[in-house]
Amino acid sequence: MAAKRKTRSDQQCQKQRKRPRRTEECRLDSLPESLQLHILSFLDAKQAVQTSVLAKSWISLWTRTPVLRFNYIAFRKLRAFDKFVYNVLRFRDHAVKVNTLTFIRGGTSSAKVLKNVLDYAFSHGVSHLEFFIQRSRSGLWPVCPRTSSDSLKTLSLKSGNYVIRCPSLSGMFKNLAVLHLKGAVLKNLEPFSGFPMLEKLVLDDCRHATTTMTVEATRLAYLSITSHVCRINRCHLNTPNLRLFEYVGSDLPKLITHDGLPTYVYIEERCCARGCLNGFTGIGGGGSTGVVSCDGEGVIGKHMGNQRRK
Amino acid sequence: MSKKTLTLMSKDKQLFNIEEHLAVQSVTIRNMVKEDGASSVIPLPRVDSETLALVIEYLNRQQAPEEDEDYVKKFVDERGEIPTLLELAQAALDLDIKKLMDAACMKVADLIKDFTLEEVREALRIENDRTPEEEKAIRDEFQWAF
Repeated sequence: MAAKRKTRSDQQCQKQRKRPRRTEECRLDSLPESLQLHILSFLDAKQAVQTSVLAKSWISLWTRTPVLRFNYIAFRKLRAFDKFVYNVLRFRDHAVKVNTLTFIRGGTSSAKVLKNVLDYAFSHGVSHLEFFIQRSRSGLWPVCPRTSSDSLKTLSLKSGNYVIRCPSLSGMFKNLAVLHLKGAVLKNLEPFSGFPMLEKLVLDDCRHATTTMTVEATRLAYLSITSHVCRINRCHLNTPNLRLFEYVGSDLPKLITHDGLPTYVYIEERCCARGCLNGFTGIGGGGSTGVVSCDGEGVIGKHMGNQRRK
Repeated sequence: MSKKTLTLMSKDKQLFNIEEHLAVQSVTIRNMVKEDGASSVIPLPRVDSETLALVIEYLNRQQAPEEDEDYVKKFVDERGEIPTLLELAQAALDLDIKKLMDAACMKVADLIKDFTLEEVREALRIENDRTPEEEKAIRDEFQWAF
């Protein structure tokens, strides 16, 4: 085996020598560690850990990557995946911050696994956090009220069905700029009021305990709501900097704004586009807003002036 | 802004000219220019001439900002050999050109992501310095990852 490897690498060297340009420098081993880590950061966690076998100098490189990408797809059994996650978090270099963490798991996730990963992320200064789970055993995102993080900038909690209740995240993440929720059940009446830095909010088929939603975010520039099965009747927007409002769904809620309409509004309505436009004109102030509306088959919309709001 | 030209010197002492307003996409060069005006030749002791030629080609691109992401992707795709990409990544690191470094590293990761460990060793030219017994011991230690 070793002999075979040697021949192959000799061949490789000769191939390299035929092209005179590349000499011994073009080895990953000779590159700065920051670059090695950067390359490992783009790999799935399973493959990153496996690099420890490559050579002696690689034994603990994976424990220092700034990015962790967990995906159950690389495992035959969910239990093996959970064990893997547990071990990775245990063996990581705890002095190293994790900038980005993604976690994708099918099946039903136990609260213990989710909590373990979330706690790790928050205690290691995570900036970008993305979770996708099919179901949760407790039916709840294990973000406890005591959780808080000043480093978090992007948070994405997605689930495959609607059983996951989202606790009030308000006030936990004071630097959060992007929040993306999918398939979450929102109990709180004003779930989007405690994020002073929020610029982008995406609500993808979330259920609301009430039919009225309130968004209060001074810096919010982009709001997207996809609502196919969940119904919101009214949407109170206290968002003076909103530039784009996007709505995809069957019934456009009545928008109530305190600072005029956003600069652009995009509506994709499955049933009745006329109804949604009526919904808009009812609010008034539409003269400064570009409205594009379309149904499932293409753009049929009309523009209501394109002046940018200052 | 006047079109001032800077001269960069590769490891093998070849000289390359580039307009200053394009060269300052490199944070390293931008800082040099700020400090002393960088009137003389800027030496890049770790970058060979072929790699520097690529970097210059990249810096000279005439892309609209919204097409830039696609351009840098295509740029590294067309130079899809791992040794070239590693040199490019190192040059981009030294010159602090983040987009180019990200794209080159991502491309390397993309190329090796479906490789077996043996293939990764070959592709990245990593010498296995463990005996088969030692390797087995490591695999056993990390059996939860295999």
